[in-house]
Amino acid sequence: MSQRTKIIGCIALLLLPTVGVAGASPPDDPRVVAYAKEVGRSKTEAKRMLGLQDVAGDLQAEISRLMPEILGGFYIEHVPRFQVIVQLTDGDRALIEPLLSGRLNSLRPFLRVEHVQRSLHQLEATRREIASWLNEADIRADLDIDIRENLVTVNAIDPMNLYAALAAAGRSLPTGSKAQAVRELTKPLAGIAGGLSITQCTSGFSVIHPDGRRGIATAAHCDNNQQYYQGTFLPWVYGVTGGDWDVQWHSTPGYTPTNLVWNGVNYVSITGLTYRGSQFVGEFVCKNGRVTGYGCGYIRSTTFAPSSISNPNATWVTVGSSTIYGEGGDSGAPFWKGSSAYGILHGIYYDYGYGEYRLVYMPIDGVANGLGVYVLVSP
Amino acid sequence: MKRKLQLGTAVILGALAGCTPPPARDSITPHIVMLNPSAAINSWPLAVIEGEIVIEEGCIKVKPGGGGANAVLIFVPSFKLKDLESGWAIVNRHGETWGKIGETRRIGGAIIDSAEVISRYLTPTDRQICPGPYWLVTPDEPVDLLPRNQPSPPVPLP
Repeated sequence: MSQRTKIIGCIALLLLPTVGVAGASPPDDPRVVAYAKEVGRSKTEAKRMLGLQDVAGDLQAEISRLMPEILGGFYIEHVPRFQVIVQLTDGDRALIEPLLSGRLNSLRPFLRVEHVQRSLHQLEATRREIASWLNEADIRADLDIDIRENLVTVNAIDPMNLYAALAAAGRSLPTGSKAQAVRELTKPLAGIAGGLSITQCTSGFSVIHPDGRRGIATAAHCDNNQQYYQGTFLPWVYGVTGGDWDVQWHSTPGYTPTNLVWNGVNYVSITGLTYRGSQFVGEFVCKNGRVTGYGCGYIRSTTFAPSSISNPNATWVTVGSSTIYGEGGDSGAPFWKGSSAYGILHGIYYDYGYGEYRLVYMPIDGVANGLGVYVLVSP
Repeated sequence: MKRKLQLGTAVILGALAGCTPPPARDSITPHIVMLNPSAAINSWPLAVIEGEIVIEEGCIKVKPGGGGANAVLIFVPSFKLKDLESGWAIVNRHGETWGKIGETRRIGGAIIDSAEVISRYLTPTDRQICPGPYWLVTPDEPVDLLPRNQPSPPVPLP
């Protein structure tokens, strides 16, 4: 190969990436593509509208903050034309105008202000009232707030039956609500995780039996036959208490147990276990109980023997800090660190020497060696 | 012995209830079950029950709102029974009302169904007067949550 050929080759190699970049257009944002298709507009218009939606969210937050008592609703219409609709129980567009500065100014051409009778707060109060009546009378129906109609809607398979059942309980649907017929009620398809409220206690970690059945673990001193999750009965499967254990598990009809625990803000994936033998004094671990919520503390002991257990072994773990606390209903709460399960809350005491509450948990070992099931560490 | 006599009186009065006017509300002092003062206790369970506080067979119990058997309530020794004009009440160490008979409330603690734990936590007299099932009431105050009668308590009570 001549010197000249080598030079041309090198120049060509150097130019290749440049040519490649200059010849390609950036990939389309799938969200823009989907929205453009949905509203029948160009991708350029769709991109602009999506940007306006984000700005609209800021406007809603501002109105909710400044005038919550008169905000009746807030929504976006996409077709036939893009509009941001603000519903007020009092006042008109003049109230909103002062907010349309800076970034929010871009919404001005798309803003429509409507008058409605009821505020969102009133609608929510009505919804809660109806929900408690339905609950008392054991009537199944789905409740929603229809912003456009400024009404609470009660979806029932047979509205006439609903009216009759309410009348039998001495009730009738209040002003600002209406019943409507639906073919079927919503079915719970959601997952269930640790750190959530069940009747007497808190759900611990999700578990799986060797035969594939899934469920949720909690403390065994929680009643076997009184545990419900969002109104759904959780049948008791097996439990063990005494010695090293205070744990039982329940099946979860209609809910799929997941390897998640709720920390009060979002869900945390549990992907591993830390057995008692690897837990050490001074480790900082956290829990989420249905009553006292999220809290963290230092492992103070891994050799505690709780008196509230029959023939207790000195295999329990205590956790303390200036902030961690527990109340009735927190039992069963998961303890974890990072993405690793540590244990299931059993009880509490107060340590006068440290001037702190101590939570007592059963190490995670007890789930497998006590129940014969395994903590879920993958979805 | 005095409690047995009270219980006997209650039984006789109960038998006569069909042919005599019902006794006044405070004619019989209900029995309040306390943790055995000598029991070693170092932890308190954290389940919760919601139910009505009732007197049944002379004992203070919780009638669970969700169904199930009524359970005898076990209190820490600092709690007391108090005869208010409006009825019996259970008061805490400060004399504040924890709950009244007929009142519905949420009660932290747990069902205690282990015979071994029951034998440690309750005196034979209490077990005889008020047979279970039992609900151990987990107290709210730090001083009531201190480990008690441990071999070597961390620091003596103030």
